[in-house]
Amino acid sequence: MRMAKMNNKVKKWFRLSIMAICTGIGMVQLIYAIIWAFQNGNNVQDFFDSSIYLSGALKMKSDGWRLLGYSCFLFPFRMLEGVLKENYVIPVYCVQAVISLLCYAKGCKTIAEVLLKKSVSFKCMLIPAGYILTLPIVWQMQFAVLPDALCVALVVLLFSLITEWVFKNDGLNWKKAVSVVAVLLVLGLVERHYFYAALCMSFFGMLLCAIRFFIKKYRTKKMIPIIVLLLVCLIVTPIVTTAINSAVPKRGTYVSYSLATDLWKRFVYPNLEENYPHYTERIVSIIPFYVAETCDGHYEYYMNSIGPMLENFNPEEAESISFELARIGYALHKKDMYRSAVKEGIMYIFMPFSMEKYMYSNGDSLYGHNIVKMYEKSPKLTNDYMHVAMNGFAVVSALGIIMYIAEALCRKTFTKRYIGTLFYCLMHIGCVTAPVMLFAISKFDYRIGLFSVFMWGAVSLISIVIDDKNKVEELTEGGNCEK
Amino acid sequence: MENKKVRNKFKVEYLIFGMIALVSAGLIFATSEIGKKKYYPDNDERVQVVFLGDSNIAYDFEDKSIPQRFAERTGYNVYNCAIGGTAAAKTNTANYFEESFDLLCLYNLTKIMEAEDHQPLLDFFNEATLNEQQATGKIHMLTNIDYEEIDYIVISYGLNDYTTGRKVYGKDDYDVTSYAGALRDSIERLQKLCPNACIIVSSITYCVFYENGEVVEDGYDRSWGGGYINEYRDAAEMVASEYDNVLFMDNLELLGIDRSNYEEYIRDDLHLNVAGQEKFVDCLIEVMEEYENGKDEQ
Repeated sequence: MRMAKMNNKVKKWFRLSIMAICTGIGMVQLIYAIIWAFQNGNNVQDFFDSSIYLSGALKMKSDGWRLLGYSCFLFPFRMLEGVLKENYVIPVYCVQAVISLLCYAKGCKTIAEVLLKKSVSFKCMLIPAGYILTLPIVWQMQFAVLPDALCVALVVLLFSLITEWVFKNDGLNWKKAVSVVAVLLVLGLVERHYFYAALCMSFFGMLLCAIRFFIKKYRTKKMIPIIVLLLVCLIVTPIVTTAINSAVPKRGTYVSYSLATDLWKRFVYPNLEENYPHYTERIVSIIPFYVAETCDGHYEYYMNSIGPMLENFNPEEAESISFELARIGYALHKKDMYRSAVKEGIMYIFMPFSMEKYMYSNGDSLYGHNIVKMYEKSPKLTNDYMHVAMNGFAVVSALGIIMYIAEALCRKTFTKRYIGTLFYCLMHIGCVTAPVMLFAISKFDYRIGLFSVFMWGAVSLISIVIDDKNKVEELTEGGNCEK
Repeated sequence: MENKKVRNKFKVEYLIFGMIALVSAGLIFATSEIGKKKYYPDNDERVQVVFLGDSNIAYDFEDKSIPQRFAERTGYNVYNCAIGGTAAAKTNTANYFEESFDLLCLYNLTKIMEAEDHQPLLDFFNEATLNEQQATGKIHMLTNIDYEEIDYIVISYGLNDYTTGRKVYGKDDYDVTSYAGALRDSIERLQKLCPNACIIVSSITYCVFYENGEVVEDGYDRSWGGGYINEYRDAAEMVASEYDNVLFMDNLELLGIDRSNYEEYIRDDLHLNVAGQEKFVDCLIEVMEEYENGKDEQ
């Protein structure tokens, strides 16, 4: 009895110490994030895409690649430009940050309640959501005129809704159904790659519902309408969004979007020059060697340079030529491509630690990665913020792993659930990351791993902070949180 | 009594919780010092270097460009404004693709640096259908540089002047359609624009020519109409010697690349591979150190 009491005391102090460490880390990060936001709140980070979206908002035209959905979101804010001058971006950033905070909180609540069976309130989940939101790589996106912040938030919301359908057994609720359809449609009109990720997620959710339906133990008729709805969404939303995107007026120089053009980034760019001798006469006649030689491997290069060359040659053949180039690239570098894909996949799965590696091994050059845009206005502060917060995130994630394993082992009855949750979360990271990764340049891009960052942050903090129902009550003393 | 005990217990718990939180906050705050010198230190404290040049400088080969390698080694703040495919001298052409490259030759690039309104040029590149993302990015970068703060400008051209047959010397000293004239004109304008900068003129690098997979000639044997590579090197050396605060980096000599060892340093016929890039960075650092030591002695 005494021994058990002692054990409980040790456990309690162990958890409290870890929570204290996380609180310290979180407070420092929050202070940095607020100061950074004040210094960068009215800055439009110098992303090439931002200018396209901003002008798209005024002209209500897309360039064929960057969709009109995000420009529509920007439209009301651009109307404020006359009044607020360059500060009109402040409300854009605020809205993005609030949407992200709410979606992250919803995602955290679902992970805690549905997957880990911990009793929590939405208000309490604003704390881990706030922590994830103020991580510099996530925070930067809220302060950029890019659709990534909204898309990641919507993907998290979709994850939450589908997870509740799969595991809660509460059937098809019209509010959730409308939300899922709306999220899919919005993503389809805002950013294609996140839309593909959302489709993968929906397919995975539908598959799980179907599996649950066929297992006798879990069988319930409530699953049927959910499966049907997801199936309809999988078929209808791509058709609807493609139709709308094609109908949107185009402006300036653009290249028709196709899956084939997306494959360029991974299968053609990296070896365009090297593969040149293997190209067919048709390709060689369209793409001169000096173009292949000077290709800088960024997708804008395709859009502004090689794409128009193919389309000018023959719009109908452009896609087949793209596929042909991708096929040649794949055939010649199969092994390297698999190896790099696996390596990248592992990096995105273990984002907190990959970011550490990236941060400490990347060269210091202004002609480099997108993340340097974050340093434009306040390089010293950003440098400190980046180091402090990303090191802190690695510590929180490591502590989260320890607590997760400890909890799974201490309560043997829960081990299965914990392993299942881990597998489920990893599968979702894969569902989101793989489609985005496939269509991205084959180099580490932190933006692809933002969903993984959310997962790591949410699961780690929930494992650390929330013990059981009693602990929740203890934590919520003072009436700040709903019970 | 019991209540007091419980209250005291809570107080101790809060106190310890707060202390641990403070210590962890302090420790994590201290991690901002790790790697600070190397990665994004305060811009004002760093040596500022602008690179102007062709593909040998502009592009990443095996993940890193020469300016990136240089920045990693020195910790200097580097602006890689080099653009692949460009030459020092200007040319007149009706070919649109070539024209867009010509707009970004050294002569025009220094004009862009001088201009106050870059918008028309950015508009041109945004609307055009060629090599523009690279160019737009570089122009954006050029507009954001505080030229008064620049310590070094590295000018590294020659290969495209040579392979496109642009003349080494022109009608007169300031004939910008010639390599020497364009260098001279640009150096003078750069010196006005960046009065505190030391300009390093980096010469053409060694190159070879293949036929049926075998090297048949090198840059010393073949002229494309403008001259041989040693002539471009000599012209650059001569121009550099005409000005104060302008250094010359003889890449044909310093890099030590020739017919016997070119495979170690060149990845195709023109471009330096990783070993070549590293060697280039070594030589550049050496040139800069010599200059700095000379300044100290004075």
